[in-house]
Amino acid sequence: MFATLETRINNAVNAKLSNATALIAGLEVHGTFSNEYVVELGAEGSSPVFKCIEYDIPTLVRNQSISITYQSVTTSYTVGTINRDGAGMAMLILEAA
Amino acid sequence: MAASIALQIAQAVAVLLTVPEMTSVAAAQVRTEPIHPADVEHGAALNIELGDEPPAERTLIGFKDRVTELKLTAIAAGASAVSSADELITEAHARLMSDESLGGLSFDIAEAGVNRSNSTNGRRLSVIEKTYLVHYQTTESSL
Repeated sequence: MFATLETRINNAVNAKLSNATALIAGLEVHGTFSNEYVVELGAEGSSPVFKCIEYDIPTLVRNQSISITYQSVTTSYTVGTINRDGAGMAMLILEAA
Repeated sequence: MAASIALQIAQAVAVLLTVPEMTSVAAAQVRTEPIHPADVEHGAALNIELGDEPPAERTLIGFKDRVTELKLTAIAAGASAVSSADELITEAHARLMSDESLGGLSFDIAEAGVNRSNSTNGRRLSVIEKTYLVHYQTTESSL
């Protein structure tokens, strides 16, 4: 019952807020992309993150190449880490390919 | 007003590490006492920073023996960040040790510790921080 409700909420939120499409092993996955300015170890850069529904990426692994289309621009990335929140959503920490 | 010997040391190190340009870092990316974070999007960077100084010792009447920390920080990004930072600090160390007197400002450069860190800021990032102890002498009335 709760799992069903959680899935419905995740789907509704993702459908409403998704702003990008990831191409992962030939499959399109919709989610939320952000790429904020960060400073790490004294070097500036950006922090590309893609948030999506966990069951959309069942076979995704670290170091896998994916591409993200955001605001009509497609960029290739490597998956750094996959942060599953335990509530059906996953946050992919990406690195420039 | 003349610059302190410590600042002159940092400036001399900057010249040593940029003329001629090193193979592993562009001269423009060698930064002395930087305020802003490094931009390593298009190449590695090397920071030159002075650190703390212990109390000076009066070994001769009228003179003070002083020691200043000098920190070189190699920052590299990308798939080969670890090897690029390693190559950079290795070249910088060799260049620094090629003139330990720094044109007469110093009478010894001793090696201190090394810190290595890896992370990501959208690209793989590797930082190697190497500290030196630069010994120099001034008159009692000057720095």
